[in-house]
Amino acid sequence: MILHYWRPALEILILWFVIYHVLLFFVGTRAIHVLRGLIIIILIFFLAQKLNLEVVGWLFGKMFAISVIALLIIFSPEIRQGLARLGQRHLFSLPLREEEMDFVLKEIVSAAEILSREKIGAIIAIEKNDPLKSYIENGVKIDGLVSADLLQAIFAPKGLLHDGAVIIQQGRLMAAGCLFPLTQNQDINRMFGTRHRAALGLSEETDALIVIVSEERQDISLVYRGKLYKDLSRENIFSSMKEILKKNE
Amino acid sequence: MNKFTRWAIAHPWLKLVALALAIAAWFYVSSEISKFNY
Repeated sequence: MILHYWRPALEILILWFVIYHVLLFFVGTRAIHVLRGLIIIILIFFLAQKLNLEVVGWLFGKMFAISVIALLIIFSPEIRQGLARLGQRHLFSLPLREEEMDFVLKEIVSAAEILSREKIGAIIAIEKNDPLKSYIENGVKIDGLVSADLLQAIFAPKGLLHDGAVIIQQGRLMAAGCLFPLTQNQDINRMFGTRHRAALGLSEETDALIVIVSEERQDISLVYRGKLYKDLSRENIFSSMKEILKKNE
Repeated sequence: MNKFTRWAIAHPWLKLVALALAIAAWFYVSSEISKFNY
C-alpha cells in the first residue's frame, strides 16, 4: 500500500527542495517581504479552492497573477543579479572548520586591539545563518583572506573605505564600506554613536555578530541579536565570539 | 556538528513554509491534470 505513494512523496520532496532553495535565495534581500505577502496570497488561494469558496478563490487567483507580474517588474534588478549568481551558489554551504574559525577570530581580535589602541573606529560584521549578501552588494567587494593587517588598512582614517563596515562571510573578508540600517530604538545611551546604532540595527534584522571598536572610548564591544556586550577583555572577546558563532538558534 | 546536521537545522520555518507550498502545489497541479485528463 505504502509503495503506491512513493511517486507523489518523491514529487513533493523534489518540489520542497526546489521551493526551499528559491525561498533561501531571497532571504536577506528586500524581496523577502514581498515574497512573504505572495506566499500568504497563495496559501489563501489554495485554502479557498479546497473549501470551494468560489468568490474568494477567484479574487485571490487574480491577485496572485497580478502580484507575480508586479514582483517581476519591481525586483527585476535583484532577479537579474540572482540569475547571474545562480551558477556560483553551493546548495549545501560548507561550514567553517574549528581551526579556520579560530584563525579568523584571532585576526579580528588582534586588529580590533590595535585599532582601539590607535583610537581608530571600526565595525566588523560576521555572517552567521542569515545572509548578509544585500549589505555586501552595497559595499565594495573584496573577497580576500581575513588578516589583521588588511583590517587595519581598511579602517585607516584617510582610506576611502574606513567609514563603512566590513563583512566577513564563510571566513572570508567579503566587502568593506558597507552600510547597515540604524536602529530605531530610542533607549540607547547617548554616548553611543552612529557606529553602535548601525551595529544594533543590523543585529535586530539578522543573526550576524558585530564587533565594534570605539574611537572615542577606545573599547571593543560585541553586538548580537539586539544586545550590546561591552567592556570585554581580549580573552573574553575571543571566547564570547566563538560561543556566539557556534550557538545554533 | 557535521555539514548535513547544520544544513538540516538551519531555517526551520523556511523549510516548513516550503513544505506547505510543495504540498499545496502538488495537490493543485495533480487536480488540474486529472481535470483535463492530460
